[in-house]
Order: sequence, then C-alpha cells, then structure tokens
Amino acid sequence: MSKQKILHFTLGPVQGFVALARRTRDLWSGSFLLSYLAGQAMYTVIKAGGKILFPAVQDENVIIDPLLKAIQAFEEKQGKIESCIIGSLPNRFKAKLPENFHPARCVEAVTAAWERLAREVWDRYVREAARYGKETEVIWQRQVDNFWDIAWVVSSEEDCNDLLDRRKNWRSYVPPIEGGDKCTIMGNWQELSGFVRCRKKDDQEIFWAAVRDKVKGQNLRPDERLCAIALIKRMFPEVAARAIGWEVPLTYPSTTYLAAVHWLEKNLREKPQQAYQFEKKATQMGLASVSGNLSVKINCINKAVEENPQLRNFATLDGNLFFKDCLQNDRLWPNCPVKQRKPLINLLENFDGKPSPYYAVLLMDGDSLGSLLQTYKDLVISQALAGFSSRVEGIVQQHNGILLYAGGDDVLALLPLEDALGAAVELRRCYQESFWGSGIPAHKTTISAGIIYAHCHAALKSVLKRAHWLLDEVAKDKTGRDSLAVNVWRTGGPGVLWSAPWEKIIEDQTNLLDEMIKLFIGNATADKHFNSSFFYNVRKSFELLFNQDNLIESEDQVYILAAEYLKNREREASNLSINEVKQRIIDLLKLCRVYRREMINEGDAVEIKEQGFTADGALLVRFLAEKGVYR
Amino acid sequence: MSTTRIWRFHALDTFFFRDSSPFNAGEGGYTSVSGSFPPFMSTLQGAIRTALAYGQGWTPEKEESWPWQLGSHEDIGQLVLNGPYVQWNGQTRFPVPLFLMRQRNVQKSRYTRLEPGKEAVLCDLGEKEMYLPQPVTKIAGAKPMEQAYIDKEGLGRVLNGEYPADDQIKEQEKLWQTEYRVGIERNLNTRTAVDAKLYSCVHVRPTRGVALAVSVSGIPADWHDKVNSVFTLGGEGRLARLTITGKQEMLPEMPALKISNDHVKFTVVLVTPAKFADTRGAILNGPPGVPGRCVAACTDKLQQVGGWDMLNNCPRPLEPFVPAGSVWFFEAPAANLAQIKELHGKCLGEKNNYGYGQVVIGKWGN
Repeated sequence: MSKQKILHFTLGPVQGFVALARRTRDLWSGSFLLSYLAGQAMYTVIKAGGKILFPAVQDENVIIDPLLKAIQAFEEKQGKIESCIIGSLPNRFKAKLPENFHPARCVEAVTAAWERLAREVWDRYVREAARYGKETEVIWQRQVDNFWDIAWVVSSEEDCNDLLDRRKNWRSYVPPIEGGDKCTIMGNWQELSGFVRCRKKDDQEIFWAAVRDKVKGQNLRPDERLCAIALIKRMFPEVAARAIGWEVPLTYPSTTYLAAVHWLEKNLREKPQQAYQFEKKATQMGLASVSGNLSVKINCINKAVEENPQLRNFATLDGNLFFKDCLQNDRLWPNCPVKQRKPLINLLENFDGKPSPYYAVLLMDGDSLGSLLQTYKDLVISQALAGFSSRVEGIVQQHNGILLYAGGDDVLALLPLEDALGAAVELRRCYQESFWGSGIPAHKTTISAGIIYAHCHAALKSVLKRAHWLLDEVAKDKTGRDSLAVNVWRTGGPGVLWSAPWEKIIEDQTNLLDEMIKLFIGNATADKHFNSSFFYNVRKSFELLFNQDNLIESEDQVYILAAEYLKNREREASNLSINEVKQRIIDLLKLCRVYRREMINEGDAVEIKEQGFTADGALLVRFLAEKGVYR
Repeated sequence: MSTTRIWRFHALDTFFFRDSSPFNAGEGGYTSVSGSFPPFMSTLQGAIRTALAYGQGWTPEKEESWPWQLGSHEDIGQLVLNGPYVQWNGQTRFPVPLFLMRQRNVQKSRYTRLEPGKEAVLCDLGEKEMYLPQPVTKIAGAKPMEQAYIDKEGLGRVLNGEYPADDQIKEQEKLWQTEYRVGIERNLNTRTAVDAKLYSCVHVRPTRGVALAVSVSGIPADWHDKVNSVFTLGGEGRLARLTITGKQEMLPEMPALKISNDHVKFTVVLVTPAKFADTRGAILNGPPGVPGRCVAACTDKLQQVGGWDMLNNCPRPLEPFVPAGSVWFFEAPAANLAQIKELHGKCLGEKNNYGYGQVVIGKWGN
C-alpha cells in the first residue's frame, strides 16, 4: 500500500500584494484575490479526489466555505453562483493528496486563474494603449509571469505541521530585474509605459492618457503610473464577472468616508433638510457620485438611510465633500474651481459639528497557531477557526466597519474610529469562545490585535505596513501575545504608541480604556477627572524618571502623580480627598504600565511582568476622548 | 603605495537613502517615500569617490580632472571597498545569521539553531528531496532574528557552534529609528512655505554612537588625508561627519573545523549582501567558488538594489541581492580544508570590489 501524501502549500507575497494599496478598494482587491487564488489551488486538490485538512472548508466531502463554493460553481459551470466578496481562505493550506497527484497541479491552477484575470485586464484596458508604450507587453508579461511566490512541501505524516515553516527558512523567490521608472504604488515594479519620465515625459503622458481613456471615471488618477500587478488589482472589480464568474462591489468607502461615518449618521438623522440641500448642490456642481450607490454598506448609515430613503444620495457622496479643508483643496476637484465650490463650503456650516479626520485599521491574528497545530489535532483547531471566521463579518458590520479579510485566525477590517476598540474586544471574545470545548487550555487559544487610528490623508500603504509591524513586533513580540497594541497616525506620521495584554485592559467585562475615556470627558454632574495638560506633564516630567530601574517604587509613583494632579488650581478648589485622588491615579496608572506577558512552566502558565512606565496610555485616552469616541 | 583605511560616517542629524518608489515633485498626495538603512555600497561608493575626487582637486565644472584611479560611471576603478558595516561605539555589529533562533524572555532569552533536517523531503525547491533547515532543539516561540545585530564576539561564538550572550545582540530599533518627516517647498523671496507643496518621507536617525564603517583601499595613503570631514550623504541634503582611521580587523576569527569521516561540515554566512549571476542557483546550491555540496540554506527575502545612472539620466535596473545574514550549510571532503579557510572574509559572487558577498565561515553538525 503506497504511503499517503500530505501537501503543505503556501502562496505569497502577502504584504507585498495586499498592503501595497492606495485606495480601500485596492486593499480589498488584493485581500480577495490572494484568497481566491489560494482557493483555486485548494479546489484543484478537491476536484482530484483529495481532501483539505486545514482550514476546515469541507464537511465530509461537501465544500462549505462560501468562496470555495463559488469557485467550484464557476469551474464546474453550475448555473447559479452565490457571489462572495470576503476573502475567507488563508494563503496556506494542508491537504491529503490523491494517488498520482503532483503538487505542480496546484501551482498550475493558481497560475491559470491569475493569467485569466490578467488577460481580461490587458484586453480591456491596456492592449490598445500599448502601441503608445515602449515594450509594454514585454513588461506586462514579465510581471504577470514572475510575481507569485509559491512554495510547497509533501510529507507522509499528517502531523508534520512545521514543514512549511522550515521551508520558509529557505526563501527562494527571485524577482525579475525591473528597469525604468517604477510603479507609483508598488515601487519595486516598472510602470507600464516603459518610458523614463525625466527623458520622455510627453511619451509617458500619452501612454497613460490612453489607458485612462479606457479605464474611465475615477479609476486612474492623473499622477498614477502603475505596473501590471497594481493595474490588475485596481481594475479587477470591473472585470470580475468575466474573470471569476460573479460580480463584486465597484465602490468601497474611502478613508475620508470612514472617518466621517458617525458625523454622517448624526446629520442624516438630525439635519435631514440640510443634508438634502447639500446633496442637491453637490449634484448640481457635478460632484455627486455617478452611480448613487455605495456598494459596500455601513451598518449605521444603512439604517439611517432606511429611515430617510430620500437622503440615500447624500449618504453616497464622496467623503471628501464632508471636510472643509478637502473642499477647499483645488487638487481634489480639478473640474470645479473653488469659486463654484464656495456655496458647498458654506452649506457645511449648517451641519452639527465637524467630522473627525481619523478612521481605524484593525488587524488581528491568532497567537502561536503553528505551535498549536504541532500539539493538537488539526481538525479541532480548524473547526474552531471556521466557527470564528464565520462570525467575524457580522461583528465587524455590527460595529459599522468593512471587512476586508477573515480567513482562519486572521482579520483585517477598516472601521470608524469610534467602533474599532469595541470590535476588537468583541472579536477577541468570539475567538476565545470558538475554542470552548476543544480541550485546548484557554491561555493557549489567544488572539492579538493591532489598531491604527490613522488620519484619513495618511498614505494607506504606509498605514498598513505599520499595522503589520504593530501586530507582529509590538502586540506579539514585545508585549508577549494575547495583547492589544494601538498606534495613532497623524498627518506627520506615527505618534502615540501603546500596548497591553488583554487581561490588563478588560477587567470583569469592563474595558478599562472606555472607562478612562468616560472619566476624561466627564459629564453634566461629575467633573472631568483629567485634562490634557496633566497628561502632557506626566510625559514631560515623569516618564524618564519612572523608567529608571528601582529609582521610584510603584507606590511612590502614585503619591508623586497625586501631588502633581492636585497642583492644578481647579483641583485645589474641588476639595477632593487624597484617597479619591489616589484612586484616580491608580486607575490611570493601569493604562500607563508597560507589561510583558510570558509563558512559564514550559507553557503551562502565563505570567505578566511590569516593565516600565509610559505616558502614552494617558495620551491615547485623551486622543480618543477628544476625537469623539463617546457620542 | 596603497593603504587600507576605515572610513566611518556619522549622521549629523538623520540620513535618507530612498527606496525605488517614484519621488517626483508635484505628484503624490496620499503617498510617502521610505528610506532604508544601512545603505548599499552602490550608494556609499558614490559619496566616497566624490569625496576622494574633491580631495584631488576635481570639481563638477572640471569634469576632465576626474582622477582615472576612481573609475567611471560603470565601475569604481582601482578602489576596493568592504562593508558597509554598522558600528556602535566602535564595535562592529553584523546582521544575526538566519540560522540562529531566539525565544525572547525578560530575564534570559533561550537560543537554538537551524541545521539541515535529518530526513529529506519533497518540495518545490527541486526534483530531488531536500534537507530543509530544522531547529536542533525545539523551543516554543523561538524564531530567527531578522531585525537584530550581533557583535563580533557574539558572531564568533555563533560561528563556533555556540550561542551568544543576550547583551551581544542588539535590536535594530536600538541602533536606529525611523522618523516620519513632512517637507515643504520654500519661497526664497518671502521665506515662507509655498501653498500645496508638501511631501512626506521617512528618514533614519541613527542612535548616538552608531556609524557606518567602510574599508577603503586601492588608492595612495595621502589621498585619504585630503578628504573633507563633512559632506552630504544620501538624499535630502543630509550631512555626515567622516572620520578616517587605520585598518581594523572587522571580522571574528574562523573557528577550527572538525574533520569527521574524512569530511568537514561548514557554514558560509554572508556579512554583506551578495549579487550572483545566477541568483536562484546560488540560493539552492550555494555561492560559486565554495567547495563541496550545499546541503541546505537559510536565506531571507531578496533585497532589490537599483540607483540612478547619472550619465544616462535614468534609473538603474533593480537587481536582486541575497541579504546579509543568509547562510549555506556545506559538506566537503577534508582535502578541501585549505580552500575553505581561504574563503573566510572573502567576497563571493559579482562586484567583489564593492564589498558585495563578503562571507565568514563557521561550523555545523556538532
């Protein structure tokens, strides 16, 4: 009897494909396509009579994952395809192979699906423009043929779960040599015109004008010159029906729109007349959305529009219209001079408040899954993860976010600033619940999260790169996993950086960050417990001091900060008792400790050690409070 | 008579060595250009040659006075460069070899190393089965240190099959930090910022005590003495202070290799990035010129290096380089021992005079 063959397969690059995005739609495209192509490899195994062992995409021999089902329906030319827009398949899988099946067939399946998509984009948008380029087709083919990094290993044992990690220690992907000017989004790949801008600017412009003429609308900005990969990602939604067999959303909420979500919701409900007037004016000026549709729906906006259907068009306006500085920026409205935009700028004054310019990127990833798979049964873990990922979309939608990817233990979502923390807490709870009854100790089934609160004008690819760093280097490596790391990204770049184990953030179902934000804001009857100047003084005067080893004990830090707190004249007048003040400081310090979580006793238990002091916990509270976390 | 000297570049503020992304005035919005550190020798050689040329009386207005010893736009002439090496307080720090894995703990970290696995497996790397790298001791949570640097003594221990002390490893973030900057265009008449002319880029700020060291030889000794001690290095008009000292041994000594069954097992570790004519061949079979058989390797994601062709006013092609820290595990007949010893500190692959592909030899299989 021949030995069984177990295939371990991975497709990349992940960040090099997904995170190099300028627009939110590009980001979705990349996430989805990576998942889709991995699905093609999985389907090839299933079709040949094999079985996917991890992730859990089959129930007995029936495919249950929605994306894989859609792939199957298209490949088998079934009449009806239930369209799927969430990348739910991870980029790596493990499968039991049928007899005489060579893994090269999986590689061929991925390549064929990718080339089919590339061909659609080439034929529709580049073929005719190529005559204005210099060796455009050579550039295109080189990039399409040499982009993917595919690796696989075959074992005879089912539990050799470290093989792919071992294979990845021997990186072998060699990118092609790329000359000329580079893509404005994926800077290691040549742009398609083939001309060098400083020598042949006009020729380059003619080429890209011809491409823009084909892609139409807002699909290609005047200053974008793309490589094949970036153009395929950009135009994929337009060709999806032919390339993959079903339609996908053509519009995704921009970062400015996401930032404005709750301002939009509030004004939809409370200022309907003003909203209607504003939309009419925008339409008159030719600044309204052509389709009048926001393909990807945000929960609270959807509900507000259901209550006021006549305001649908207001809810689908370009997010830049809701920000005064964006309306004043001529570069955003090349066909509408500022004089014409003035009335719209004035109409903005009629709304309640101003939108916050920040949105959130949420990235989550299960901890030490590789180790878990080496210790426990694949089936148990994959079923738990399948249960988790099936609930992710609902949770993100409930928190008014848009889900870009939820496969296995990974989550990538964009949310309004106000909702990100709540979504992360809820997702973490859902992840833990998914493993109940699995027999795996709770301290081993943990998930870490990174949240970037980013200014809507920050470069998306820089923010995404930072989000991965935040999750991997801060939440997991530095803080020790089962942790949340948060970074604020202002217009000038990253600022406040803070992290803590979840155990230090959530006490008895209470989220400490939320509690501190409430205390910062105060309410009608209670005073504001803290103010900005106190937090900045803590950073300026005490952070360095408190981080000197053994110089000032924790208890003394409480007294010192209490004294600093009382220095403020308002506090002196408030007749606060020292014990009340101490309690406020003790609560604040919970967010200002630097912690590291470590496994002890050969992984049987966890210990959390205090490692220092950071005022960034306090400054994060201030940031979230002032940006309107509480409505 | 030529003399080897060590040139050390210290940042006066920050450095900016840009990546290959387009960086054109009047474009962008919502984009940012990143910098990288340490820079490749393709960048530093330009600054070194220009500094030497100025010292010999050359100026850009007198192109014909360019010293022939410093080569042309296609080569570096008689110069032989090694490095660049990151130094901290005079101590050279090398990228941690990729076979070394660490489980990081507050008290004391635990280490293990990757070596060729005991059993060969079928994988996409080739038609025949391969011995994929495997930890000699399984430590949960241990992983290669891709963003860390090891000192000379620590590297010596690791090459000898031992493990480093924690204080011999320094995280990259302790050696330098990235700094996000927003730049403006200034109106020289009004001395104010020009409207709508902002750009963002990412600089690198080396920690105090950090320098980039390059070994420079191939030119007369007195040439070094005529070089300015402050000049621009990299982009954005960033300044570097230069100190020049005598030759210094940068690399640890090669350990004694053990002969067993008339064979010797040794590692080839890159301390500078390497360029090979056949990159994939080198990754799978080891660098050219190494005797014996490559059993396995630990190689990182390739770096893509380009630059600017000033003569033709166009970007140089982006070419793949194998990064420093990459390791090959070799096995060779004991008769090759002398040849193997010769390799320690040598440059393998292409453009050796740029310092690319410098290797050190260690042992494995104990």
